[in-house]
Amino acid sequence: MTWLETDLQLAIDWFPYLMAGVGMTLLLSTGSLLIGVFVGGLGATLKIRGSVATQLLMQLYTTIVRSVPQLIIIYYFYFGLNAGLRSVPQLPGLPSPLELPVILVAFLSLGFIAGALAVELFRTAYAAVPQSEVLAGKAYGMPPFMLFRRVLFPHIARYSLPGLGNVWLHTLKDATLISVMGVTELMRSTTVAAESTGEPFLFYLLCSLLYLIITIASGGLFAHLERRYTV
Amino acid sequence: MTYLEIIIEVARGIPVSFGVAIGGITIGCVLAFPLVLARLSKSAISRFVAWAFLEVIRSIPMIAMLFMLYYGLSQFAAVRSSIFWPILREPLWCAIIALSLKACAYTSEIYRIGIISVPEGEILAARSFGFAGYRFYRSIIVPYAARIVLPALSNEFVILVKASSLASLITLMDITGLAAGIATETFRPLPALTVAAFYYLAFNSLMVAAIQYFERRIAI
Repeated sequence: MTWLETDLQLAIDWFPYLMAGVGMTLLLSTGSLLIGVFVGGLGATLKIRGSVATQLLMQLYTTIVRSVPQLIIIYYFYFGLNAGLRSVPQLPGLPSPLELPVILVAFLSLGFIAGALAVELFRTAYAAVPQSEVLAGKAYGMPPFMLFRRVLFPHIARYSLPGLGNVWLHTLKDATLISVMGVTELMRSTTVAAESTGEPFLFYLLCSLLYLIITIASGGLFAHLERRYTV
Repeated sequence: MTYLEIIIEVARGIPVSFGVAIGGITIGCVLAFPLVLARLSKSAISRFVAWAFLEVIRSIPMIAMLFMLYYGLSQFAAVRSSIFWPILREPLWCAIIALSLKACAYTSEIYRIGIISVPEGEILAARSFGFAGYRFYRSIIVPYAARIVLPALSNEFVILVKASSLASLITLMDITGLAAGIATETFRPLPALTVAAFYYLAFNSLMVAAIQYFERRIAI
């Protein structure tokens, strides 16, 4: 057998395992994006409407995530979250010692990072909402929630869609760092395959190729969404 | 370990971390020039090749690139016996190469936006005055483009400094690597990680401030 045939055979053998990794990566990224959108919405509201203290807190949050490496933030969550929980005095009646499952820590850390990007995104999208429409809504006597749902939300969603595509791509790539927690996403499954077969180059190449495909596919998806939702 | 000991211990990674970051960014910024010229050239083939290169580099995660360079290439006997082996066997150089690839892809896009933002009239006027080649770029394009490019570059550089922390995953003892080591050894992760976070925060803030200083210098 030539090396090409051997490599092809190896790639085919390990393909289901790598695809499971792709599934985990997509699950991690999607879940974290949702957490990020939630945190971002909350953070942007606090930054726009909140008191000076909450505005400062949000400023601190976005500054830290912007200038501290994602890997360190992920280590913080991975090493720190459970260490922090262990130091909480044991309450009677609670299951002891409280330990968060690793996958939850993964979602939280990626969501924390995506959230900081989303805060800035939603804040700028909010600033782009035409004030005349907000005034018109108020003049019709819309209660705050209805004003948000009918006037603000459609505008903010539309303005932030391209930026959300960016956040998604960032989250997708940050998900590779979750491999340090031992969660078997695409990066981790590639490493396992590379180490078991002794063919690291082939598998890291495959992993890059899979990432390329995911990136191109999500680019297409977001382009479609933008076309669909722009007026 | 006391805080002071951690601060001193993690500081040993500063030259490594910022060496990788500054080296990668500098090489990337230089390589971005030929790339952006190819991207804006008249030939459709060189435009396509440059575009494809950019898309591929941008969509590959940094870790995959690092692992491919450091662990992947060493499996080939041809690479191990080549003249590049003394470079490719060092995690430091692998990190610098991976970071420069990322940097040149991102930076060339920023250059491109800077260049296409130069008003058409300026270019025509310069051409009719006989500006061409190096002088054309030096006196007409760069002064215009720099004002657009610098703010975007400072954002990009921060992202690249952050990305340099991934070098710790190919056994390089940079700030992140040392901090993670202390975190696992002492079972007290927060002090070491906080110290590391502060070093990155300080370096990034200084870098952004320096670029903002240049922005003010060249502002009209």
